[in-house]
Amino acid sequence: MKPETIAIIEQYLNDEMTPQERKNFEQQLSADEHLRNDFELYNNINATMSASPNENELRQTLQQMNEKYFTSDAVVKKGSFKKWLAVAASLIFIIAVSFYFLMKNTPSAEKLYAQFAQHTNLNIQLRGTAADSLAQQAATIFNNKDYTNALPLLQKYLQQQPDDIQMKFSEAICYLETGKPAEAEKIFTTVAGGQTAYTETAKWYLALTALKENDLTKCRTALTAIPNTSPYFTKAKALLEELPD
Amino acid sequence: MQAHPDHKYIAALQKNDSLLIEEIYSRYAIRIKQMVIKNSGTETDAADLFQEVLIELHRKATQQQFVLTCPFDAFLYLVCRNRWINELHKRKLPSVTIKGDEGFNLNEDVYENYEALVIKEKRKDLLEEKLAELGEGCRNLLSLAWSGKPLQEVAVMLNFSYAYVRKKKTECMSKLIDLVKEAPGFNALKW
Repeated sequence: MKPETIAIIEQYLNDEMTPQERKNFEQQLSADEHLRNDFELYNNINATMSASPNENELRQTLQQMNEKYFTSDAVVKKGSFKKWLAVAASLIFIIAVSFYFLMKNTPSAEKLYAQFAQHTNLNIQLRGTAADSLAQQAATIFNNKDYTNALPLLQKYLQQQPDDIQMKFSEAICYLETGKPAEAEKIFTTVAGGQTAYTETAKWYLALTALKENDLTKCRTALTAIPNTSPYFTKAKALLEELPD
Repeated sequence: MQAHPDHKYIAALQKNDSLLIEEIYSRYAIRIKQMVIKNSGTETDAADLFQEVLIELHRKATQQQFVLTCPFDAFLYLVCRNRWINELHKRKLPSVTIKGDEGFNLNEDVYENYEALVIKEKRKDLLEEKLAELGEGCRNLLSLAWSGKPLQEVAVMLNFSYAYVRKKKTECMSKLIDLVKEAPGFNALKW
């Protein structure tokens, strides 16, 4: 396919033609089978290779479901004895846990943070750029929870790819985990104000940041800002209930 | 061909509709888990397999307009089973025939849908293979353009003028398309 043909197809797709040019091109498309095939092939290739905008969100959903449905005995056959056994066991567990919390003082912010701050792994999609190996290295270290050593790699990567929001987010988690909550909060606030796959996650992390800093009032405010459409709503509600007065 | 009513599950994966996605898990996770565990796998293997297959279906629907024309349950089982057989091959485990259809109705329609999925996968493989044959400049530029960034932004990142990036991109696409068209497997992939 000639570059000139592609340039014309792109002008058409980008809506950069005059009405007359548009009409001519469409007529040509319906008359010329060769051009039509090229047009379809061009579209096909572009669609196939384009990143899917919400794949990361889907991964988050699937990870949550995986924990629920693939962990031992999480899925129990309906009506079986095992199910009743499971119900009985969970009842005993719930009673035991509530008893424990009733007897003990309400949990500290530190304990709550450890309970609720579970960072999902960083999944790198290869982009075929020179920054790939750096990104992969950073992800491996990050996924090992070695936030001190992941941070400089992420910073280096972000100098080259400042718009990579997934990596920016992971950088913020590293700040949070290495005693720099102010830096973390700055990033989470920016992301929470945007319109990306990470908006809701960032709101949740703003609450976690406040919790880490033991600022319970701020944590409460951040939690109440999480809408019931958010995937973090249930967690936010649970944390809100457990916060000490 | 018309979409099967079960295409709703594929659409749910496209839109990240967690209610319907949960239905997929509650209905089928246990049976896929059983298949994997019966055939030299673990629970974690099953979870990874299930997740990767669902991501794959999401990609095929979003990027390559995959439309389901058969019942979802048998199709999902067939995709998972064949992917698991591949995985066992990779691990060089001896017996890799998985017997039985676990009660799923694996009829001709299901196999046709599976074939359609495989062809889409092969197209992508071919494109990636040919992309790797292009020079680094073209590879970088096309990857950035496909990442969803506006071309104006790509130009700033690469420190080129917008006009140059645009011209270069059409040249790179032209090279890629020619390489793909010349590949021996091109026609079999029914573009």
